[in-house]
Amino acid sequence: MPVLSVMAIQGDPDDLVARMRKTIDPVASRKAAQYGGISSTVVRTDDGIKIFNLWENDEGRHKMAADPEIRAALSDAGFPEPQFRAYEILYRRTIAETAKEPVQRIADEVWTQGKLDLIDELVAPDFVGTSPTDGEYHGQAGFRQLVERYRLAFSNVELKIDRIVAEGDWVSSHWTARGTHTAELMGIAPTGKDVTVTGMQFDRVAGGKIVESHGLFDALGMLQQLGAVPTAAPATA
Amino acid sequence: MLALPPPRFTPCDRCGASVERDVADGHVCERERLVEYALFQMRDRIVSFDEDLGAWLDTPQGRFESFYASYRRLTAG
Repeated sequence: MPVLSVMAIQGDPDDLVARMRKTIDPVASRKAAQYGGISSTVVRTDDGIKIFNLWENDEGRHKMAADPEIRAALSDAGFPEPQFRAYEILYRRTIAETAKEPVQRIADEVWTQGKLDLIDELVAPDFVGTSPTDGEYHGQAGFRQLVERYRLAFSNVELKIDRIVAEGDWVSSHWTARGTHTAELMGIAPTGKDVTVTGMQFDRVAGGKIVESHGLFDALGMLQQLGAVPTAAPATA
Repeated sequence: MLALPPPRFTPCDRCGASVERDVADGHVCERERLVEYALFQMRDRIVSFDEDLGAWLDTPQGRFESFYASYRRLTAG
């Protein structure tokens, strides 16, 4: 269960932060992840600083406080023994996590389930996108045309996001798409072949909608699987 | 001559299923997929079958075969 720990330290705030950054941070930033540390925020108070640390669970924060290297760094910095008060987190929302939602829904509901009517809900009217095969495309209509082009050419489309990360209002995803080539694409007559391609993209999200998208995918691999581009002949002995 | 590296996935020559190249040797075609793929390759012939059949039945040989099939059905009792 995630917890927020809070510790107040009295003293000159700037001096305390300087000592923290010089002596404690190099150790803490290296060790935090292994103890489930998520973030650390230091604020100025009337008589010193307050440190707010976010943890994946309470056990982790206790273990980190007992870590010999951490304790040594605290001592070297002239900081007191760690005495945090912990609070159970009931609800937390970050801009980054919220930004992932429309990107995930575009993959699951628009591309895979074919719910193109959701485009107006998930894509901004002033949307701008770039793709290696389609160049620049604009607006909800441009986005819809792109999706329709590929969903018409491929049946049983499935677009699965393998990993997704977000920072601020930017979301990056690594995805795998599969489909059966049952209609013409880029002048290539339908082959009935299953195609699997991977791709990555950066999406910027604002107000719950994707406003900007820059994607790259294995277009060459797609064309090779369709037989439109030759592959290297296997090496002979 | 330009030699492009092969893609990670490749469609099976027999059934068209997408197979990861590293494990392609172990791929076994699903029966249903085999049939689907074969039918897809014949789709033009399937679509034009009725028309082609009608055209052939309208030929002298086709008309005779229709007559002979009816005759055999009637005489078989």
